[in-house]
Amino acid sequence: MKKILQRFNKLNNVQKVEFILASLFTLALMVGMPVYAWFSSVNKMETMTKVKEPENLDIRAGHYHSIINFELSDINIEDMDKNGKIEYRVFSVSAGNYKIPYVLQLAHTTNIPFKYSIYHAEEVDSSGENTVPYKPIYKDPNDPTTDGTTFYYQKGDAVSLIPLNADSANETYYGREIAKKNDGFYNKTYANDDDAEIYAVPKYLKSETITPSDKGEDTYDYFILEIKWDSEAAAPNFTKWNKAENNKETDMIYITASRGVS
Amino acid sequence: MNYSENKPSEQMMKLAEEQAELILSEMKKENAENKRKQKKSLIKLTSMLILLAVLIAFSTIAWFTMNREVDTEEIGMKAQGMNFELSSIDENGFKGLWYDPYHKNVREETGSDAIVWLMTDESNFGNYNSDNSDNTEEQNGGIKPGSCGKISFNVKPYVDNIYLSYDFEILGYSYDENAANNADNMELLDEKESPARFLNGHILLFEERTGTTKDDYVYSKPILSNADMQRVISSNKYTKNANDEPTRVDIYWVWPMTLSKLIDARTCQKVTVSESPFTSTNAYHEVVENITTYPDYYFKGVTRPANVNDRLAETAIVTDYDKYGDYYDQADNEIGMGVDFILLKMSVSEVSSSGE
Repeated sequence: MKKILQRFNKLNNVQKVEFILASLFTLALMVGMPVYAWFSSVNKMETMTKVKEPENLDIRAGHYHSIINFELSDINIEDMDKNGKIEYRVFSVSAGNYKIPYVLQLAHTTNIPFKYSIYHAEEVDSSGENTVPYKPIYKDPNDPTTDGTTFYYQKGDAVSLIPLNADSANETYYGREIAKKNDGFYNKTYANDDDAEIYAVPKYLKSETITPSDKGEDTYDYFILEIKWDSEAAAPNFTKWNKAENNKETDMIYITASRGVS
Repeated sequence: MNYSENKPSEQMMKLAEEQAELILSEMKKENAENKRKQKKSLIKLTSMLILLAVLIAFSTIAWFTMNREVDTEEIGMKAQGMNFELSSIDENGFKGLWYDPYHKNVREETGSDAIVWLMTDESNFGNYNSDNSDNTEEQNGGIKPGSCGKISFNVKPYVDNIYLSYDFEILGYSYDENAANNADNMELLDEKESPARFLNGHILLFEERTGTTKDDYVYSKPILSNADMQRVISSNKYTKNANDEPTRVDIYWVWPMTLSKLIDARTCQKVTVSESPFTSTNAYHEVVENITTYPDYYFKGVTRPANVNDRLAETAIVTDYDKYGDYYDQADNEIGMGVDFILLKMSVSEVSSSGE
């Protein structure tokens, strides 16, 4: 300190002034920088928000069990044909945590003269009038509710399904409408658009937008698929497009849920 | 030799003595004066140093306290030396804000000194807690495809006319609830990579909106991401109000539900598209231009062509809307799966001003 002072004293007046000014400017900078930084900071604003998880649509068997429990193989056609038995299968739709509106779609081939309908359903505690039982076939070790318990579903209103690919009045054309719409798609397989095997083209139906019931998280919408025997189509003198075939027939049924217009 | 002759005369002795004393006193005087001078300059220097120390201390402390106040209490800050003041619209303070603890974490991590943007019932980013509940995990908040809203702030010019430029940035964060300590649970996602990259094309900002309901909103003056992922308004004019009231500025944000809200795909032959775009004519072209220039902001798996001339054509997207609509949805899904929080940052600078 003393040395600095001595050196300072040795300087002439002009140099002293210069020295003092230089130190002042340096200090001004030191003081000014953080203050200036603060000035520049107040022209910034920010806010944070959360991104919600993606919307989920999930179709499963009754009681929201794994879809493997949605089983159609044990349908007794004889019972249906002779006694008019109606088969019911329950499935559930999860519309995720946000309960997004969705559309149900049903597509099926038409080999067996079945009539398909879908009904809204509610899970109820016990069997009663118009209830449909559902018992899981496969045991899930992680889910105690799959342990042979039977669940019951009260049949509600029908879901109106609008056929999209059909002019059902047309006796011979029915299933081929979709092929015609796609203009040329069936050319790759058949000689002409119109030659598509009638039963190879599924009937395609779609519901109106369904608003999920909002009972909180982890709640589901339940539906009943009703399968009836179409005795008219099974009659021997029936000649329309959906007449029953005498082969060992199988059918494919697709039920899908897609995001509806909210 | 006579000794007495060699002896100096008494007179001479006296003279010499006087001379010596004079020199001595002169020296003493000089010494004292020097010391006094030294003392003087020492006092000057010390006082100067003390003064400066005090100045530094005050300014630093002031800065610290101001900074802290931004975090907790202060909503808007008047910055002397600037020609405008920026502030939140404050109705409830921090009480009506969701995700503030997460935001605070990020602010501490990054040392952010920006003003915390406060939200209201009608001006928010899906983060307004209307019932002031303390539950920060509230599920009802947040945004998703189909969400839209308005965020507002006040600008108060101190001069007659001022032109301001804006720079918006949207950053993605992932939240790790198992992080060892709180400070590490918010992780900034690489903005160049999926999914943060898609925020540029999926959360859009507009300056204007007409219409009264979500279904009939028409957006115009888009603030679109450029090559540097910055959304810039180059110059907006503000005029000092007569009563010195601040001017309210609204920015409209929207996360389009589907690509068809941005591109008119109703002529697509492959899928039936009934939705029409929600943009005004001019905005439509700006947005489409942005999509074709930076498809990597909008679509999963589509890269930006190296040459601008090779970029996607609008007609190609419309023709193959079945594909591009899906790429867009997949990108939405990536955001939903990979981004937990987003931070919207706005920075305002003066372009020019006039008057006083």
